[in-house]
Amino acid sequence: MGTDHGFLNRLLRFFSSLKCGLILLGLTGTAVIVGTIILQRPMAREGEIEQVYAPQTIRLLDALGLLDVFHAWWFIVLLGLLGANVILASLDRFPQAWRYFSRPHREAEEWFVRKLPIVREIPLGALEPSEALARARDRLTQLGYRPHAPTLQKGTLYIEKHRIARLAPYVVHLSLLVIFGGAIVDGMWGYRGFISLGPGMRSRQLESMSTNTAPRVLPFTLRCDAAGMEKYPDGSPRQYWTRLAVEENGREVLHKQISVNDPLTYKGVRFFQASYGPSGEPSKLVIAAAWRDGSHSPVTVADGTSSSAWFFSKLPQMNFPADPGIRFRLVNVEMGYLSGLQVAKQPGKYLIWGGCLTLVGGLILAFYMVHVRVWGVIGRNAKGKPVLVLGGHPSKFRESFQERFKHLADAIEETLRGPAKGEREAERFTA
Amino acid sequence: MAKVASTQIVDRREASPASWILMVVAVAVATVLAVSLPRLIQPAGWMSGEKFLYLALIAYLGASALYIASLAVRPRFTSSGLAGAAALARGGFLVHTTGVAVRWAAAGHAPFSNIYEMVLMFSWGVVALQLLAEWKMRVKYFGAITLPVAALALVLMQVLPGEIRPLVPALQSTWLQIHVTLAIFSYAGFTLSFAAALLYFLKDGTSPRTFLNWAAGLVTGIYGVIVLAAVDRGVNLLLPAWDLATSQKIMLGPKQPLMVPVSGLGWPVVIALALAGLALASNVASTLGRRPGPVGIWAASFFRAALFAQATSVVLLVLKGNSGPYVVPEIGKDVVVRLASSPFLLSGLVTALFISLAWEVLNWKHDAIVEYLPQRETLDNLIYKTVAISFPLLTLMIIAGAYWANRTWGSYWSWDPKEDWALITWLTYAGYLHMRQTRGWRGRRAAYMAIIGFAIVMFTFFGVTYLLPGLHAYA
Repeated sequence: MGTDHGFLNRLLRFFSSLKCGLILLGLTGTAVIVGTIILQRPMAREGEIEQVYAPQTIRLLDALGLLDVFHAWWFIVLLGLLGANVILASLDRFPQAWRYFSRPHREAEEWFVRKLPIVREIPLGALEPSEALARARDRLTQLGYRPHAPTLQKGTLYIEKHRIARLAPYVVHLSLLVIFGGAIVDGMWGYRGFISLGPGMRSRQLESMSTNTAPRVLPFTLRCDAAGMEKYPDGSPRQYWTRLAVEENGREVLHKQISVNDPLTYKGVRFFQASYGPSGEPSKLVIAAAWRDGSHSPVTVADGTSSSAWFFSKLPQMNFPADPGIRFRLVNVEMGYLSGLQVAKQPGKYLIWGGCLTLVGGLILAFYMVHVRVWGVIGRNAKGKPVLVLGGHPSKFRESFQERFKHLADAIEETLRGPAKGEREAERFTA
Repeated sequence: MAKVASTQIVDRREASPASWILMVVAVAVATVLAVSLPRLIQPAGWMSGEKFLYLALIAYLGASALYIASLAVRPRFTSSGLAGAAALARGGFLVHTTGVAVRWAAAGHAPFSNIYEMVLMFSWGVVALQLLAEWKMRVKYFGAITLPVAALALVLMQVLPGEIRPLVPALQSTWLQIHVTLAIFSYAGFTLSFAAALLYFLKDGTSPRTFLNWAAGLVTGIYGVIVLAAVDRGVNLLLPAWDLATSQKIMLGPKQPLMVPVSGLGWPVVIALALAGLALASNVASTLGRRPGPVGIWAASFFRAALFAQATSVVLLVLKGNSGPYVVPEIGKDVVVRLASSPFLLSGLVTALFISLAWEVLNWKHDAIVEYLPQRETLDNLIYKTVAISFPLLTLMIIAGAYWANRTWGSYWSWDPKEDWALITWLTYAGYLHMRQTRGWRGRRAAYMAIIGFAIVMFTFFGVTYLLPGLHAYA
């Protein structure tokens, strides 16, 4: 690298470093904490912020983006830097991990095995080296650790488990990037909104959730056929439901009864039962009309004529004598109810849930699986006697590996202690 | 030099503190028994599971005492003490499980729907993982920290509203069960890593004097906050007024409960604060002075006196916290106070008391404890292992929550405070796991990180629920 690339190089190296990652994690965490302590515009009630903070404080907080941390440019930049750090760090380290994974070091010399963190010498007794290796192989296979056959041909007993765990960090970090990607796709091409519908109503207009975006028009019409709620015996709500139908060009194409936790989906747009409550307008009025003079002949409404009248259900004496001779009485009012539906289109959701699945898979690989390797070669102990030198190396959790290693070594030692069977075993090994 | 100083302090108080501690522990256990026994005798409460929880609490308190004691008095007592502690913990766990099952059957849904049930399950999860760790990883000594945490959770539960309510629509989902089960096990797992981190600091040669700085600082902080927030000019403790009809605090406005001055409770709190403050000041002076003078001895004496003031405060609060009626001129009627309205106050006081007792034990038997604990590297590995097991659970918990929210509200992430704090927890432990990749950051720094992480977990669990309410209004 030339000297003029020095600065760029150093910058690149810093951005791919663990230290940079830790700093960015810390900054992101701090930003999130700030976002939970200072009132946030999207979460606050109308006028709450103005009530809590002084005007000049609001101006300062707004200028710094602190009243909407999670949508502030610097927070997005922070997440972007974190993503860049993950990418650069992975690019930096992946080739080595891939070599580790694709070209495992199987054949070993005695000095290598003796340098491993856990080593044990197992006496061969009267056995020939080839027979000892064959017996060890059979015993290990029985225990579920099949030694690598071509390596054994060359004189090294080699077993390993979960080599794939070496790739786990890259699976995890790639998954996080995919989830980020899904969130970006949703932010760019997705939308959220709200529709209130009562029985018999139709709509294709979405009210927006935040104040600064324009209302949106759906490419189809949503119709509500019925809505209601079920209650527990104590009166608290048990379930809200709405019977919805989708109409396109005047024809019904889909209908479904939705409830909380069970939405309707059409063309990637999902409708969720969010709330249910009175609309403030009566949906049904039953009025009795009778002749004031008490005659029993029915009051009929003449077609095409209209007149207005006021009446008060609680105070009938205040009723206007609108039409001479007719007395009105309110029999029943049913208030209308509106079902509140949240609407969401999330084109990035497959990326997000796919990323989550691989993320969990990667974490299971990373933390619940350990890449363990054991090498065994025939060597000599301090007294010059032939021994099987067994050495092990776990990628982590050394203390629990020690127990597994001891278990394996004990099993081999036991099987090597038996009387020599001579030729037959050796034949099987060379065959 | 520092080593010499600490042994001198230990030597001087060889005889007396043992009996003092026993007395304090006896007083504490007697108080709990006195509060719980009358309720145990009544026939009501078995069917909703509460009685089983009292029994479990008593077993956990006994197990805690035995775990700590067997850590402290090694040669004569250890094996039988540990066996007794483990037996008590297992017995308590069985009773606890029965209590959970009874409540589940009575409610008709899994006990996952409010903060009371969450604390119930968290305590259960901590003991379950403790027993699992004892069995699988063969660690005996975690119980000295995890069992007190489980017992503290059960004490806290006694003041939370525990009545069984039907599930609101949003909570009727299998994803709720998955989300909450994962939360409980990951939080319980982080409790184990917290225990390992505390033991690491003990092993790492934290002298009783250094520990006294932390303990006195924490106690001063807790009591300072209480005095600032809840003690008025007439040295009365202000407790929120309680409406018996609705089992809620009486509110004058949003976030503004009606407070009742309770006389006689302010003084012990103020005295405990003053004594803890004096202990902190003289101990910091003695630490800075680096000479084993009388100042260090004063600090210990002040702190021990503060311990008694604290014990008095807790006992008085338990006795006077459920009292009334009090005349309140503002609303023109008589009101009562209930401990149920002050879970933070009570858990703060109990935490301070526990830390003080822990110092007493450490001061008494520091060298024996350090000798008995496993190697530093082993403890460091245990922190790592417990975090490594819990972190994927935490991740899955967040994902399950996001998936559930998406099915319910059509958005997987709303930047709601509980979500934010779960994310902060996740970032903290992600930081820990990355830090540990660098060899130089293992050990002490990593252990600090595990303790900070646990504090954040606890804040996510309780603090957010009370201090930063949002979508997670139910728990």
